[in-house]
Amino acid sequence: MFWRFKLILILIFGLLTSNQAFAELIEVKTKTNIKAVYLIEDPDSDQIRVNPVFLAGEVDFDGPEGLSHFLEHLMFWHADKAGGKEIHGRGGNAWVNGIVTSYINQGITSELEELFEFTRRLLDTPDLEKKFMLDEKRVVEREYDFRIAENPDRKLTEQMRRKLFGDHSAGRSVIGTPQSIRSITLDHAFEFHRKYYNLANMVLLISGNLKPKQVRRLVANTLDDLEAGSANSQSWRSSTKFEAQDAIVELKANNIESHAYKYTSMSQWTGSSNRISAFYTAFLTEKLLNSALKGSLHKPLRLENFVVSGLHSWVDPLIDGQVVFSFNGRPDEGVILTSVKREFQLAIEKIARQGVPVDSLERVRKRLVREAKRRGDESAFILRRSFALLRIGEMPISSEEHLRQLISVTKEDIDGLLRAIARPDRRVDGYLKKGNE
Amino acid sequence: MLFERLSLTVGIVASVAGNAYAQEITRHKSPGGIEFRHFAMKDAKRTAVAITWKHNVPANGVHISASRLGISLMLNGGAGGKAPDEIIADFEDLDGGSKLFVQPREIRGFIVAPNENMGEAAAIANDVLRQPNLDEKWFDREKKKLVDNAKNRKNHVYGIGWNLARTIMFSDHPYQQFWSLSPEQSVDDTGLQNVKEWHGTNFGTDGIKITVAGSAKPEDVGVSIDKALAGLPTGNNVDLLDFPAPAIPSRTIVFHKPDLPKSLMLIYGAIPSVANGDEISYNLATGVLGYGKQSRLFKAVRSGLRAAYGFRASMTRFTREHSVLTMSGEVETALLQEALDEVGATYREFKTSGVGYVEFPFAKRFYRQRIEKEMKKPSSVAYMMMENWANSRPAEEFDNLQNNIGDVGRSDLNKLITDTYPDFDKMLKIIVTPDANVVKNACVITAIEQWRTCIDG
Repeated sequence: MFWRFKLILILIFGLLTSNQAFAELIEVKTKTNIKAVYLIEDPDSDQIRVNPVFLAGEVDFDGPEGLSHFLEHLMFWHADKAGGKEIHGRGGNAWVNGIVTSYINQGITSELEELFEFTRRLLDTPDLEKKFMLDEKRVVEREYDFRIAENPDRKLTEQMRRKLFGDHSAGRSVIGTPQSIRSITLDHAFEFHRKYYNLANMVLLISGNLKPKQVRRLVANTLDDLEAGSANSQSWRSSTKFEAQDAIVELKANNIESHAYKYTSMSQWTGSSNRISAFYTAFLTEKLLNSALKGSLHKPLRLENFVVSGLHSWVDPLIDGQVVFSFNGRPDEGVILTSVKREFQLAIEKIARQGVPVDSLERVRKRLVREAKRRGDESAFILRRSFALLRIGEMPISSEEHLRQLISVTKEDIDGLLRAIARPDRRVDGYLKKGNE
Repeated sequence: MLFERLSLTVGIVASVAGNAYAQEITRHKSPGGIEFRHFAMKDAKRTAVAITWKHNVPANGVHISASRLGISLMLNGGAGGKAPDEIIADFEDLDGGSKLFVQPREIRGFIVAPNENMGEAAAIANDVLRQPNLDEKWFDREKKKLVDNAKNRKNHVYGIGWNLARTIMFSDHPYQQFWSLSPEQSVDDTGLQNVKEWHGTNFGTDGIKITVAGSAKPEDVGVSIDKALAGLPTGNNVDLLDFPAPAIPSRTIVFHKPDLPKSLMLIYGAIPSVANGDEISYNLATGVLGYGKQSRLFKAVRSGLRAAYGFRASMTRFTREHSVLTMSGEVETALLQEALDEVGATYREFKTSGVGYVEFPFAKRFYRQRIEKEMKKPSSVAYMMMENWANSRPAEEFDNLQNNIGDVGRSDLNKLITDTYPDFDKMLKIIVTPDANVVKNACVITAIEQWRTCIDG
């Protein structure tokens, strides 16, 4: 039975991938100490994007929350003065997700040297006026205002994450709080930079109309003389035994009209042989739960019954041997939060007990394969996948490998993950209610 | 099969979408006689169809939200007797996308799908357009969301600021009520019957505009268009309401709400309609003023004063005839006055001197790159074609879009800025803040209904 199923998958894969040429992500080997360089050749684009990613973030720090984000602000301003002048033609940005820190610089062929100099300058200690650097904390506070201050949903999520992870650093807030941002010092920032901003922790993602030979030369010209530095071991990823916990976090806010139910849990899960296959199993499971198909949460909770709207689920295999599952939903008229909790629990337990319907799994897989075929040569699509893999501690993969991974996830893989999700070791229920904080 | 092909333009060799072959908008008729405009994108993997219906909100201001509720219900509540999950899942299988949204004078629909699935996508679209389920329970769910949305605006800086600005500019005009979801009671008073009436009178086939972009042959798309619109009534006799130019008083108004966690600055000034043919110039100028990290306003308020995370300029198009320049950003409360002064100084300099010699080529490059990026997406191309048509601009303007960007000269652009951008002193400044005293010489109010005291006093 199992082999017949496997054969069908292989046939589907062959059918879907035949005669398909992908603009592949190529690893460019260099003689420098950089961890890895990848090129996405895009002959149709006159834009070149140079995207250094440091494999370090908030999770690697134990001082005031928000440090890696504050440093990202500083380093962008420092690196932005590439060639001793402020950017004009180039575009740039940066982001953090708590695990990795990513900088983007974009321009045309004539600015290639500057784009690489931007990358090199990220490895220097920030050379900005002290007052400018300290004032940047106020800008970060304004960013906190922008993203969080009026958003009790985000505040509750952060509180629930802290509760879920306990002392583990994966529960740290990436943006921090106004108080924690104010207590960050420049020494904190310089120390973090010294420890993690080095070639051993840098992955360079480049896209544009370039050839590997050009990239090799540019990387050598820019980074050849630099030491590797110490690689971040990311020891926080190693399998940790979390003690059982069943907690409730409640937040009241005056500036909302509708209540919300939120849930996050952590389960032991060793169902996949490696991080990449775990990632793809989680990816398909998440897509399935968020679909309108049989085996989803939307069907029983939103589409067939009136329990919640605005629901979404996340499945995150961030820590080895564990999976984090999260769910959000807003109760329908007349439904109380504890009823949402009960109906949600019944639904997830039923899905885990019955297993994923084969038809639903194949429909979700077919959608993802179609999208991968259609967008396989888009650099934005490849980059998004690459960031997701770097976040779980893996290197980017080619579009063909992406397809292979989508195909190789089995019903047994997903059923095993769903069973783990339905039996968490730690769980936190979150209630967002209207009222005085 | 009746199939007319009326070439609108002489062939133009354009480099749009990276394709070195002649590209132009061509006119067609479906087998059922429905006219549409087509733009071939031979390398595109999907084809997009955009449809615009004429629309209007009720003149008496009653049940003004029926259209918004109707759209939500059509998209979420199932159609053709099929359950919502079936419709959603079937459409998601097609590797396609869809949108349906409403403005006071237009309803816009988009379908994008691989060519081989366009027929199926059109069949689902037909169910949604012709016979949405319009179920009572789904209606109650969507109404609750909209009522909550209306109430939420009173507690958030952007909701307060924009509702106040629209009320000042348009008083109690039905369009203002539509945009602001105000008064709340009018949202709550809307019933399912109002939605049914709205649906029954707004999706006719007369007067619709359809644009198509992608790799599907016009003959095939024509068949899909007929399928999508089959059975819709032929009439669509919509009389548009008169809509006045925005009244923008030269006032500084502070909306004081002590429990707000942050402050917002919004500045408005009237500019000529950007639909009149100068759209590229206005986009370039406004981009230099306030789009991105290199813009004048970002440098002044974020990089210079360090008072904000971002500060931007944009053009708000209330209708095709009415455009407003908007400058906005969340600002540190203690620095509001300094930020207002700094924005004023930056803007005055911009209006006087225009775009600089160094800035100009970069502004054009950034703009051209954005257009080139969008021109690779069938849905964006169909949208831009629709804008070109709905603005009654010659189709050649679209065909020549990239060349037209190159043709804009700096001195002409700067003349346009000097001549048509409003004086800073004549602009409306709205500050939403927990501190009533932080801005000098301002009229302070605590409820939107008090706005007249600032204008009449």
